[in-house]
Amino acid sequence: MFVASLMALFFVFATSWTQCAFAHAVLLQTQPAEGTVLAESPERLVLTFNEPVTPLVVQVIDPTGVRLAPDTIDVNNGAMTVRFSQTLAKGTSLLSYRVISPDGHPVAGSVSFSVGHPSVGVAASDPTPPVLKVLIWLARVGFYIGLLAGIGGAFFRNWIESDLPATKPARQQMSWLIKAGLLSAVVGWGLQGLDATGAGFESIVSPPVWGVALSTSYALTLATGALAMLVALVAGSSFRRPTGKLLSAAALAGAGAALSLSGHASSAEPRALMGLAVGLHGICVAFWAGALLPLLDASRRFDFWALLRRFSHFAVPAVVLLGLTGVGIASVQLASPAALLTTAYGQILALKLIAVALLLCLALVNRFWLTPALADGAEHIPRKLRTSIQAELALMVVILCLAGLWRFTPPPRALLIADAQPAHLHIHTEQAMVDVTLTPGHAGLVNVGLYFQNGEFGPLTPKEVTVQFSLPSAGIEAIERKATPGPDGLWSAGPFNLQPAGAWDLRVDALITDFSKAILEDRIEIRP
Amino acid sequence: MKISNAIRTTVSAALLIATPTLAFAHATLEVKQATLKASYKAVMRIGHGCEGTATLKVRIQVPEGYINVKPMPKAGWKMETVVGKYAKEYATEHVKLTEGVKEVIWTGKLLDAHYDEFVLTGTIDGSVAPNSTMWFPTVQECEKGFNRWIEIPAAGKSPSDYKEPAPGLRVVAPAN
Repeated sequence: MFVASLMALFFVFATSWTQCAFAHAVLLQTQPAEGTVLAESPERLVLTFNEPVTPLVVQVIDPTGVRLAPDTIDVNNGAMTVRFSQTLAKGTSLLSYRVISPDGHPVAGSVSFSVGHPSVGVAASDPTPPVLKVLIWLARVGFYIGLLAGIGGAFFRNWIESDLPATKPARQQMSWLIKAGLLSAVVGWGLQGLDATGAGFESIVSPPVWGVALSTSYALTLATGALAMLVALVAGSSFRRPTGKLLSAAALAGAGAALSLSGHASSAEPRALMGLAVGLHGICVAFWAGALLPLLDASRRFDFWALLRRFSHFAVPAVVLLGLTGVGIASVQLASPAALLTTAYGQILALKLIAVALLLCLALVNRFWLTPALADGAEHIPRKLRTSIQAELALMVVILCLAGLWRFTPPPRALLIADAQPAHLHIHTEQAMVDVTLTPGHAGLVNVGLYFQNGEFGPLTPKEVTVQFSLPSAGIEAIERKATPGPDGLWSAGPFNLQPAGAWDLRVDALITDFSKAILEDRIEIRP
Repeated sequence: MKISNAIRTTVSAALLIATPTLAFAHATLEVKQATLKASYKAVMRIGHGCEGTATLKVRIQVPEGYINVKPMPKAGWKMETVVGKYAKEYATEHVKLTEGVKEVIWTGKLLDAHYDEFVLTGTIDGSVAPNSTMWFPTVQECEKGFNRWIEIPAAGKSPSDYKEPAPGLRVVAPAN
């Protein structure tokens, strides 16, 4: 009954998560705009997002490097107004923000502007300091070890080793792995909070930091994983009872569910299938990784051969499933084979594949040479097998370390999506305003979508709209097209052949009455 | 030689004078400056049709502050006016005006190869800010398409930055 409830709980978690939208907040406009030189210190700064956001951390780093906290932050729909009482010193300041989208994904960035004259010294930096990155990575690897090797060990003891006497060290090893995993989960939770808020290490004691981490999808993975590890711990101590079997199976399923709840791979489309593939991949890894320590421990026993044969019986289908899911996930994530070498994500995958290939070689040697030889009773075989299993263990750790690095690299699939991302521009005059979307936002044939509102955010239906682009710096004169209205109040124009990349001048003419026209002009950056 | 010099000077002068006529490419006012509290005759000059086709209709929007406007009928053209409330009440020496002509519409035909003028007369009210520009947005409807002379320059820009600028009238204070 308990197991059934746990399974149901995992299922509810998994399905509710996949229903979440992944549309993150996009910064449309800032006042002052990036690179503006102001005559005087601004009284307020306005960041306009495409959807309502919740500010996490907003600060201004002045030209001397001092961090200033705002007096007030007001959010009105997507417009976030930040007010300061301090006067900024002359030079370039940096407004750094971190907000949370309605989907719980933190969005961070910075805008630099100058008072009086630009200065050097303040630059937008990688928001995650290197020390924090290393700690996040270590916590993740620790979590993986507990989740996969620990839970896998509990499963092995209950299902494969069930009728054979387990040694005390084997039992302790598994318990320690799980405890390390649980500790890593807690540490990982706090570090995730520090990363989400951009706060310093001293803030690890502040509850909001931990609260913010709860709104990220990784928290779901940590919570599910921790629950699964606790269940595995119970399963480990109820060894050789039916509950032990059921609990360890539930824990194994939980490990798979935990991995499928967050991460780059399981958020790829088709999400349900990718989540399932990630979950199965994780379960197979757990099965394999969990078996290594108990096998090593059992290698000195007289009945080692029987145990090894039983493990092999399950290991072959597990490895096949592991390979199939792995190839499936990689092919979706990589988008193209070349990405294996050209992107950081691909390079990590390439290293991981090398480690997996070595691991498979060892497994094949064990399965088709050492195991039959052991059955024949050759004397030196147990020692060779031990060495081989130790090497497998080391490779497994390397693989988990590599997998942990993916936390910091967007997959090529996401890079492609990012490349296809539209460019946005919001032009606001007293008379009218328009949200312009350029799809895609990079050089080439670009379609333009326009949504108009009057100066007070009310509805505005122009009689006629024309759009023109020009790039005077490259000697490209205006390319003009009439826009056509769509049924939903959205106007579209194009395609425009915007080549080369650069800061194009955009002009939108909206005829409001026969005698009045709103001319909306701005510059928009077209990516290469 | 003296004579040829004189001719050269005359030709140069004529060219100088002729240069502003390039503005005939746009709809423009003949007299581009007016005095506050004085009458002003607006002569709108239409130099061409739209994309080579004949003009069938000319509409001029009367700017706020140009009051007591009377349009001049034209032979061969049907003339209509749109009368409406002013944004505020204007007090002249004799009466208080709350409404008047806001738009004048002439319907007829003007070939692209021909030129014509459309005339209004009225008074520049004293409440208009001196040294400001009054805009006379004008729409030309042709056999094919429109010319909308309605672009009002943004701050820091001049009408010459635009393709279809609205005809502008500079208003100055009376020289006492």
